[in-house]
Amino acid sequence: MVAHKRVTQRNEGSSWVSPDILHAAMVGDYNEALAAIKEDANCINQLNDTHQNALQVAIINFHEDIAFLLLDETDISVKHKDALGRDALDLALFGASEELCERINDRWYEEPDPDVDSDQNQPVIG
Amino acid sequence: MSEREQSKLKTAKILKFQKKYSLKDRLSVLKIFVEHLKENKGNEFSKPKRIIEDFYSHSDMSYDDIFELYYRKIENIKAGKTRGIDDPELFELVRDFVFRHAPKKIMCLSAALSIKLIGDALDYFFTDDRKSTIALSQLMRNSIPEMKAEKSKYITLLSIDESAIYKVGFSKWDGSDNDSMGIKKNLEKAYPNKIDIYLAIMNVHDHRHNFSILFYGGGVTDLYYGLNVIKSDIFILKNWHYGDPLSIQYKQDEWDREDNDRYMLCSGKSLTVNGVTEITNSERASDGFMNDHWKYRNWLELVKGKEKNDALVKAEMIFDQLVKNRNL
Repeated sequence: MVAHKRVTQRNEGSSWVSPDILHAAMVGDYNEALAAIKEDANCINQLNDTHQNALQVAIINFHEDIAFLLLDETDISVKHKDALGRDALDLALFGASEELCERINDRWYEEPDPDVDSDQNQPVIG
Repeated sequence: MSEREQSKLKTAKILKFQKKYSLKDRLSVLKIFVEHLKENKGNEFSKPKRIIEDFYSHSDMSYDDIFELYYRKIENIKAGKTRGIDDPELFELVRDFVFRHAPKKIMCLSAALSIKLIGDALDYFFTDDRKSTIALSQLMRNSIPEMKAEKSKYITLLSIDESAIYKVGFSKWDGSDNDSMGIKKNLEKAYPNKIDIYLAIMNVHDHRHNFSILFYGGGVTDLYYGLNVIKSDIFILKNWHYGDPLSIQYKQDEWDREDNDRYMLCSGKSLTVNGVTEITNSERASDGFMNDHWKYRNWLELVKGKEKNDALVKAEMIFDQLVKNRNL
């Protein structure tokens, strides 16, 4: 397994020097997620080693508060597919609450289909 | 039949349908259906008329009825105007369609449907003569002596419903736990919270399989899910994050015959967890070519005390997220 590598340094204690949306989604740090979104709205485009965005990372780690935050405050894609070809709705339908599934399901039918030729949709792991 | 009786019957039918397929089950099937149609846009087979023909050829309903009832609905589902998840007959037709035309996508079904499907597929590989000769009711009744003998051939692991959870243990091959080479200590130092690996089992009211999960004590990023195939004493699991398959076979521990709670792990395919620990084929451990890691034997053991409570809470949380109403 290749763990998500943090690029930013963390302070010893409870705060971070620079908030990282993927790290926040992985560990369930709501404040860090909020700070990351405020600092850089484009952080929602960051991907981890399995090509998952923050919403997918939050779902796979059962951090639904972060998932709802991302849905409420950002335009994060619910159709972006990870290295295994699963989008946020696939992951939510497998392992999230019905409430979160319905939220993502509604967004899924509204969001335009991604460009399949985009580099972003190419798997990064073998 | 009066109008009121008809209405009652319809309500009962819908309730039964909703009990059989949770909202997540229905949404996942419809999503795959819509995706399949989009991917085949412009293709003759994705046209509503052809879909109706396909439905008809796999249904007992008349062509006219199917056309009248579902042509417009399919158009609306395709356009995203309706979800099509509340009509029992339509859902069954769509589900059947998806399973026939988009089998590669069924990995994206809800946990409950996936587990059912994996279970049915695995049955093909683990079928034996006993299956056809011993009915479930006979096993449960357990009244015939031969049946008792057959049943006792399999190891029955306890489920989370019995407040039981297992931990994967590691000890030196010679039976001592002194860790003279310091491998375990080094692993624990390098990967705190990663060395505790738990296995939990949930009954799914199927005499062939139980729903199972394997996870770490420190977090739930590394979650494996799958089935415990009862009659083969084996776990077939898949990593939720990375998709890696994993099989773990178990048998009664020959070193601890008296201890009913401990089982040797003897997986045919070695389990590499995070590159940290390995569950290997125990028979090969005496091989002189094995490195130090392989000199450790692995076992499954019931967790007790405070550790049990913590692990149970985590396992319950995971099961709840995967199959909330346990409608497996």
